[in-house]
Amino acid sequence: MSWLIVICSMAAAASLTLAGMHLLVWWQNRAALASLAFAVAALGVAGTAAGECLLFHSRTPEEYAAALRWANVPVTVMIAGIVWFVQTGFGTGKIWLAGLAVGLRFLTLILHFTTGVTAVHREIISLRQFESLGGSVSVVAEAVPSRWVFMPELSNLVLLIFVADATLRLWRSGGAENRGRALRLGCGILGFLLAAAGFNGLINHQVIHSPYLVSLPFLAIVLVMSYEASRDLLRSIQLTRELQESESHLRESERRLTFAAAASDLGLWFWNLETNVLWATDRTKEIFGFTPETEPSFERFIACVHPEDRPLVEATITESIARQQNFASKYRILRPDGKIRWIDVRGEANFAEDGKALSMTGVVADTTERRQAELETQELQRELTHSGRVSLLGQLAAALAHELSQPLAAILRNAEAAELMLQEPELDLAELRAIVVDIREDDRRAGQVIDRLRSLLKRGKLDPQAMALEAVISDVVALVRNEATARMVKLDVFVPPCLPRVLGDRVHLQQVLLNLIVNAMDAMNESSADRHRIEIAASQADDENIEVSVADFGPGIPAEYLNRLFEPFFTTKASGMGLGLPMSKTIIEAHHGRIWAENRPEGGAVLRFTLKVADGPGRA
Amino acid sequence: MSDAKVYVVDDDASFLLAVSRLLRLSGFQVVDCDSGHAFLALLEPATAGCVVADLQMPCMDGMALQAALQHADNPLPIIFLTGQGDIPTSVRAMRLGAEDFLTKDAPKEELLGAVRRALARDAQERASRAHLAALRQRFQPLSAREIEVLRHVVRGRLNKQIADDLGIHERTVKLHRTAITTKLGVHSVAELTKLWLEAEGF
Repeated sequence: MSWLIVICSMAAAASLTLAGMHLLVWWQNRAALASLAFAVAALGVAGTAAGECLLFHSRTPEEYAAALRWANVPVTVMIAGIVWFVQTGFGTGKIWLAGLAVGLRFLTLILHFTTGVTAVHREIISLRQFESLGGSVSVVAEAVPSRWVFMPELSNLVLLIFVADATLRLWRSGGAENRGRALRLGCGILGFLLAAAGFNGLINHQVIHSPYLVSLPFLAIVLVMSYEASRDLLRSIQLTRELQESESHLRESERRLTFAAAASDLGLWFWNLETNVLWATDRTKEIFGFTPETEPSFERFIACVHPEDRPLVEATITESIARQQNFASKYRILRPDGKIRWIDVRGEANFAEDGKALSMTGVVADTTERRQAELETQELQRELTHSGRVSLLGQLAAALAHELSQPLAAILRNAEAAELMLQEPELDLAELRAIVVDIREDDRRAGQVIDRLRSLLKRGKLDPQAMALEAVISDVVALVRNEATARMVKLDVFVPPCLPRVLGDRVHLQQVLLNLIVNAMDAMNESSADRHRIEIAASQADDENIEVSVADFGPGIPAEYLNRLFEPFFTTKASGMGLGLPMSKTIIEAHHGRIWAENRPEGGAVLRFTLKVADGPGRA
Repeated sequence: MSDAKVYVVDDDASFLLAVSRLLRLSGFQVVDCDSGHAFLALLEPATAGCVVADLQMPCMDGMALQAALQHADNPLPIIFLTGQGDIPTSVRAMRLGAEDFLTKDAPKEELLGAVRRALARDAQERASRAHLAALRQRFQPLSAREIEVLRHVVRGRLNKQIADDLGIHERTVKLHRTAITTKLGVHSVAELTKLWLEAEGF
C-alpha cells in the first residue's frame, strides 16, 4: 500500500478529530461561530482526504471520474468553511468577495456533475499507476480537458483575493494582536492555498501527472486555523480568569468599602451622569427616609432637599461639575415622614479627557445629632461665658464691698460712741477728739478702696507694698475657683516656696491675674475637656525680677494677633470689650514690669509678666 | 453684771477700737483682742461675760474660735459680726450655738441688745452651772462604794437585790444607806432621789 494513502488517511483522521473538538466547543458555546466554521472546514478536509483515497484506488477512468466528482463535494464544503472562518475570525473580509468565492466553487461543483465526466475533463481516456512511497496509486494518464477547466482556478483566484484582501485590511487596522493574526493566519492560508491551487491547476491542465494531494495543504491550512482558534480559546480562558480575579478584587474592595461605610455610618452613592442612573446603598436610602426597595434617582433625592436649601444644593452640584471640583455640602432634607434632618454630602465628579463630566460618586452622612450637639454646646458656651463674666464681676464687687464694709462699720461705731459721749454730763474732749481722728482715718481708708476700684477702670495711682505673690495668686484662684469648676477647668498653681516678696498693689495685681485667668478659660471653650487646664506659675527670673505666667491648653493665639493683643479695643470675643489686656499692660508697666504673650510649642498660649522683687539688691 | 466682761475680737484695729469704745461708753467692761488666739489666752475660767467676734479673721476665723470656745472651761456666749452676712454661714453659726449674728453696720441698738442678751444668758448659765456644782459638792463626801449603792437605791432596788447585784451582805448595804443619808442630810428615799436627779447623776 502506498504511503500516500496512509498520509491521506491520517490527514482525514486528524481533521476529523479537530472538527469534532471544535464542534464540541461550538456546541457548548453557540456564539462561537468561528469554531463551527472551523469544524465545517475541517470536515471538508477530512472528506477531501477520503475522496483522494478513492481517487488513488480507482481502477477505471469511470471510477476515477466519479471519485473526482464526489471528492469535490467536501472540497466545496472545505472552501465554504474557510471563507466563513476568515469572515468571522477577521471580520474584515468583503462579503461580496466571500459570496463570489463560495459561489464560483459551488458552480464548479455543479459543472462537475453536469458537464463531461468532470468539470475539468471532457473525457478521461486512460489511467496509469503512479509509483511512489512504497506503493502505486492511480493517476490520469490521458484525458480530454473540458472547456470549464479554468473554473477551479477562477474560484481559487477569487478565494485568494478574498483572503488577501481580508488579511491586508486586518493588518491595516493596526494593533499587535491583529497584525500577528493577519501574519499567521492570512499568510498561512494564502501560502498553502496558493500551493494547493497551483498544484491542482497543474494536474487539471495535465501539465503534470500526479495524484491530487489537495487535502495536505488544506490540512496545513486547517492546522493554522486550529492554532489560531486555540490561541483564541486560550486567550479567552485567560481573559476569563483575569476577569474573575479582577471581579473578586472588585468584590473584595467593594466589601471593604461597604464595611467602612457601614462602620462610619456613611451612605455611598454613584451617579452616572450620562445615563442618569443613580446607585445608592441602603444606608443612603435610609438617611433620605426611603425603603431599601426604592429605586434611587437623582430627581427623587433632590426632591427631598429642604425647599430653602434646594437652590444652593443644585448650584453646588452644577458648580462642582462646571469647575471640575469636588463638592461638599451641608443641608437639610425633608423626609417623607415629615422629619427634618441635617445631612452632609461629599462628592467627586469624574471627567472624560475632553472635560465632559461622566459620573459623580460620593458619601452621605446624617449629621443631625452632631449638629444639634454642636448648637447646644455653642449655646451653653455662650451662657457660660456670660454667666462667667457676671459672676466674676460679682465676686470682684463682693471682694471690694467687703473691704469697704470695714472702715464704714468702724465709722458708724465711732459715731455712735460719740453720740453716747455727747449725752454724758461731762464731755471727755480728748476721747471725742480721738474719735474724730479715727473717723477721718476710716473715711480715708474707705476712700482708698473706692480709688482702687476706680483705678481698675482707669489709670490710677498705685499703692505698692511688699507682698507674698503666693497670697495674691491664691486669693485670685479662690475667687475664680467656682467659675473654673463650672467650666470644668483645672487650675494648677506652681509657686516655689521662699519666693521673694514682690512690690505691688494687691488689688491691681489681682485684677491682672483675674484677667489672664478668665482669658485662658475663654480660650479653652473650644478645646476638648481633657485639655481644660490652666497653669499659673511664678518663678524668680533674676535678682530683681519675678516672672508670673498663666498658661492655657487652648488653640493658642494666631501669630497675626500676638502683637495686637495689648491694643485697646482689640478683641476676638463676641462679648469682649478689648480692655482686659491693655489694662493689665498699664498696671504691669506701672509696676515697672513688662507683659507679653507667647504660643507654647506644645500648644496653647502663655501670658507672662514680671514684677520687681520687694527687697531686691536694688533696694537693699 | 458689773464684773462681766465683753471680749471684742477683731483683726481690724480700727473697727476693734470703735466697737470697744461704743461698748465701753454703753457701760460694759470691754477687753480688746486682735485675734482669736489672743482672746483664748486672756480668758479666765471664772470670768463672766460674752464674746463679740469678727467672723472673717486670718489664722483663726469666727467659726474656729467658736469651736475652741465650746470646749473651753468657760464657754462664753458668742456674737458674730460680719462684713456682709451670708445666710449659710449664719445658719451654721447659729446652729452651733452662737448667741447672735450681726452685720458690722447693724444699728447700735441691735448690737447692744445682743450683748445684753448674751451677758444675761451667760449669767443664767453660769448660775445653773454653779447650782449644779454646789449640788455635786454635796455628794463629794460619799465613798465610791456608797455612790455605787446610791445608784441602785435611786433606781428603786431593794436592799436584798442590791446585795445580790454587788455581791455583798444585805447588812452592809443597810450600813451604806445609813452613811449616805447621814452625809447628804436627807431623810427619805424620795428626797434622796430628787437630789440625785437635780445633780444630773454623775
